[in-house]
Amino acid sequence: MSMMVRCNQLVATLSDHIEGRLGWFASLQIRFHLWMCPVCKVYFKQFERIYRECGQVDLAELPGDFEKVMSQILAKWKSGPATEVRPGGDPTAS
Amino acid sequence: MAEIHSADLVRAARLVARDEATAEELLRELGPEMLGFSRRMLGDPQRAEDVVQETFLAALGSADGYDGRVSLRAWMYGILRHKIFDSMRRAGRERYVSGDDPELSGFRPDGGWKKDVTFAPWDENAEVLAVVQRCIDDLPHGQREALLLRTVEGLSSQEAADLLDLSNANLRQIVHRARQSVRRCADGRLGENR
Repeated sequence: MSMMVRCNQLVATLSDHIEGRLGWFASLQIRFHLWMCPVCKVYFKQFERIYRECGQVDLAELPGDFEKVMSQILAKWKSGPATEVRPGGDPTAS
Repeated sequence: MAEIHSADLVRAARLVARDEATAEELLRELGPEMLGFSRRMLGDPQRAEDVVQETFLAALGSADGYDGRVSLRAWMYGILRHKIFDSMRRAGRERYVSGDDPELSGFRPDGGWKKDVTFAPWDENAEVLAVVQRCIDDLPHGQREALLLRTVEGLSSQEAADLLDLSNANLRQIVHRARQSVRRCADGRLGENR
C-alpha cells in the first residue's frame, strides 16, 4: 500500500480521522499527507472547525413561545378521547 | 437480544393511564429540542409548532403501542420524522435522497486538487457558529436531517441510523458529506467578508 494518500481520499475520510475510527496506519498516512500538502492542511483546519461547530448547534434552545405550545398540546390531549387500545398501532400514520 | 427500555415502558404505561404529570414531563424533556429540530427542518416556525403538536398528540394517544424496543425519545423522533415528511409533502417540497460528494469538482482525475483550488485560513475570531447555522439550514433535506439527528442529545448513533433506515456506515457518510457542504458554504460566506 502506498504511504501517500491522495487529496480526495483524505477529504473523504476526515470525519473518521477526527473521530479516531481509522487504524493507526491510515491515521499516520493522513498526518503525513497533512504535513506535506499545504492545500489539504488549510482544508483540514476549516473542516475540523466545522466539525466542532456543527456539534455546538443547540436544538433545545427554548423558543420564547414554548410554554404556549406546550399548554396547547396538553389542553388538546386532555380534551381528546381516551387512548384507543391498539397494540402495535402505528402512530406515524396521519 | 435487544435492550428493553423498562423505565420508558413505565412512562408509556402512565401516559396510557392519562397521567398528566408524565405527559408534561415528556413535553418539557423533548418538546424544546423537537421544536428546534422541526424549525430547522421546515424553516417555518408555525409549521414546526404544528408538526410538534401533531407528534405529541399522536404519541400520547398511541402510547399503548410503544413496546420498549427503542428508547421513548427514538420512538418519538420516528413519529416526528413522518409528520415532517407529511408537512413537506403538503407544502410541495420534495424529500432529498441523493448526496453527491460536494468537493468532487475540485479534484483532478488522479485525486489531487486542481491547480486553481486554494483555501484561505479563517480568522480564529470569526463568528463561525452563526454562519454554520445558516449553512445547515441551506443543506439538502437528507443531509440536514442526518446531521441534526446526530446532534440530538441522548439519541445514539445506532438509533439515528435506525430512524433513517440506514446502516451506521451510510449515516456516517451522509453526515460527513453534510459537514463538507457546510464547510464549503461557510467558506463562501466567510470569504465575502475577507
